[in-house]
Amino acid sequence: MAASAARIAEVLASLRAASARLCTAAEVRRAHLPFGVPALDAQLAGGLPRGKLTELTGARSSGRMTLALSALAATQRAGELVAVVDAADAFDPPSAHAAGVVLPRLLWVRPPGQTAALQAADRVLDAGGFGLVVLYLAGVARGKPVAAPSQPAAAIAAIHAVTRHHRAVGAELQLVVSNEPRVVRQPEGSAFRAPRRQSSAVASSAWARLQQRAEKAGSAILLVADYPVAGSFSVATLETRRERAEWTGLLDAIHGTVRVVRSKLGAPGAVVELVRAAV
Amino acid sequence: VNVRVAYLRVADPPLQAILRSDPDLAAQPLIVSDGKERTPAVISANLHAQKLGARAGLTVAQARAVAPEVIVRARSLALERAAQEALEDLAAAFSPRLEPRSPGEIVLDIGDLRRLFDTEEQIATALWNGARKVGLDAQVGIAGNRETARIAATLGEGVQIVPPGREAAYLARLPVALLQPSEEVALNLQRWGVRTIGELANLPSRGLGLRLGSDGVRLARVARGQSDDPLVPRPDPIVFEEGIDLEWPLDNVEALLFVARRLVDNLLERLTWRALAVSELELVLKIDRAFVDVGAAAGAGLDIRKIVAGAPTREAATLLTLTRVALESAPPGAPICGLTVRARPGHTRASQLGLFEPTGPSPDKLATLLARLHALAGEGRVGAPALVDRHLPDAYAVATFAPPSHAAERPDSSGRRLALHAFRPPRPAEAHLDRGRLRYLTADGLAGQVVHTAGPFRVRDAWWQSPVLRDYFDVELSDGAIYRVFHDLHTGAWHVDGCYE
Repeated sequence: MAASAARIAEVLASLRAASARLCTAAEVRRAHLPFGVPALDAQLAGGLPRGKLTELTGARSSGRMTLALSALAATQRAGELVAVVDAADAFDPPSAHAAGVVLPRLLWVRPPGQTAALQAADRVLDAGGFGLVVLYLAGVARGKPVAAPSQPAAAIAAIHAVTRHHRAVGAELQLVVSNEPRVVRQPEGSAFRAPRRQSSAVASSAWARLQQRAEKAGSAILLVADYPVAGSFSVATLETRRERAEWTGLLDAIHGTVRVVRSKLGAPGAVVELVRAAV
Repeated sequence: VNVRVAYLRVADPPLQAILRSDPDLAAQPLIVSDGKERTPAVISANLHAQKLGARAGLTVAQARAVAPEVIVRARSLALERAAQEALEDLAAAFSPRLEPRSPGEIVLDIGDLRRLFDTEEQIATALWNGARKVGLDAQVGIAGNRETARIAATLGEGVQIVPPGREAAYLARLPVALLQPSEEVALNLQRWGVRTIGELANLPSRGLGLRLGSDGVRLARVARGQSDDPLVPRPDPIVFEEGIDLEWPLDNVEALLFVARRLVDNLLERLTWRALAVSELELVLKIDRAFVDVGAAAGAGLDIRKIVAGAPTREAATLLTLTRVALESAPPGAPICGLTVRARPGHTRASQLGLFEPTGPSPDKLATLLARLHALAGEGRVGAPALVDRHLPDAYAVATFAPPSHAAERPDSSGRRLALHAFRPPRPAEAHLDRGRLRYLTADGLAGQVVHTAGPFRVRDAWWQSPVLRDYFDVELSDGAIYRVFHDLHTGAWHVDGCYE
């Protein structure tokens, strides 16, 4: 009898402890959505913060799409729906499937250009119910003008070297013919594919609006671009870098890093290694 | 069986159909003409016009002479048809057993509605209010058979309810003409001195049958309050339609959208009554006759536009946005003198929320979102990505976004693969080969010396229709990026179809 009373007391105590752990539905939804890269999630206090805009920038082959797909898959594993607003029309369904993304639970929108992409993202966030919205502008936002290299002779020599072969032009730089010959465009910014009727810059009010929408919907926004475009409206800016590729007859892997360039969540400057294996 | 039926009656359908499409006219003296080109006659007039002396039966010229301030509208069969269908939609929201009678009149079986409404007054009031919502001023009669209900709806103001079993008593003092006997029967009854329905009810059935035939027997049964013939229902409509003939042609999109808005609103109200939504909208623009060739075929004067919503929706703003896009992308070539909007109905998707899953967008919101995104991005550019069973590495499809539950779909990430930033369409490239090896590659937005290369990986696909034969290469250029490049062996052309990311 005494033993059963003790057992009842034990059960009651465990129930009390369990009820103390109960929390509201809002609390159940985690404040962060994981990137799916544990080391990076640790640096960002859990991953992509809900209701905030996080920027992911980098050059070609630096791993932006890999990270975006990883975040999409990890968010889906938490039971959330996800959306990709793909202004570049660059999303590759087979790659996403291989990365673990459940394709039927992903809304893929391919708006014509950057302005339409912002509108589409705005509408997706307004509808609510999407845990993560990836706004993919890589290769769409215009390259920002930068100063010419400090050693123009090196650039000229490079052009000479290439023209000797009568085929290629500018291995690293695209020369812009203008009244200001010292102005060039960054190679990774795709000035090449910028759609017509598109302004080079997005008004900051657009980012503020997206941020507000995300906050209201409780969604995270991952903005993927060639270079930082959202300014202080992003809670963190991550930069991917390509280090080297591993070739053994076939392409085996691409090694790179992710650096937290700027973060309101702490740990700016942290660098995480990113290895993408082909097989 | 205690049969109870409700009779919905709209007095003066031609007038009400016009007021439904333009409610602002209700406060003004309005007459409706029969629409004939020569000596048009007035077929109905509202109370304001009647007070000024304009009434049905006059010619329009006479009515204008009596009351110069009256507004004249020609009768519109399209509007009357839409009004009748709206009334049917309303009735269908209450009972699937309904029978449309003459224009503006519908009878419906309300025997089972007592489970939803406490009293018959509530049913009648709900019907009356519903009619107001679809823009019609209706009278409602409820009784044990349709003839008594019809008479109650005709005589009553607003709603009139004849209690069960009291049909004969209710009818007894009313004139027999309300039963609408044939001319011959009415003459006989008059000769016999039968003035009221009660007097008819008292006559023996056998004698009536011998003298007046089956019509007489039927009238006597109605007069005694006995149930008459069963309802003859009709199938649900496949397409919902609202239309208007314009007084003068319109030649700009804004004005056309203004007119379309009212039609779409009316359509949505009707669909709401049937718990349906619009899955496809068809705009039928009637081109001004002055711009149509005299000898042209019958359908030449119509410009038909099909607008497909991303998912069934009841959002007027979404449908109008889609309509605007359709009209602005290819404006009509001539002024428009009539507009009809046809809706193909669909069901909004029902969804069961998971107990342990985060809430997704509500089906209504999702439908609206998809429709808006379709309008923004274009056909085939919104949906869920899908894999295609083909050998081409860039093959994909876009399916309708209808997310299954989280538990139903498990990811399959068995095959590791580098993520690709696709170039769509693949960028034509210029390849420089040296002794069969790739040395330099240029394409729109990229150029460089080849540092590493792997391949070729030969892909052969669609040999049964348009054969594809390509050699794929992974190529690292001196700019540091790694691209997927293919060489089309049929054309000899090189393309860059993506960049490993």
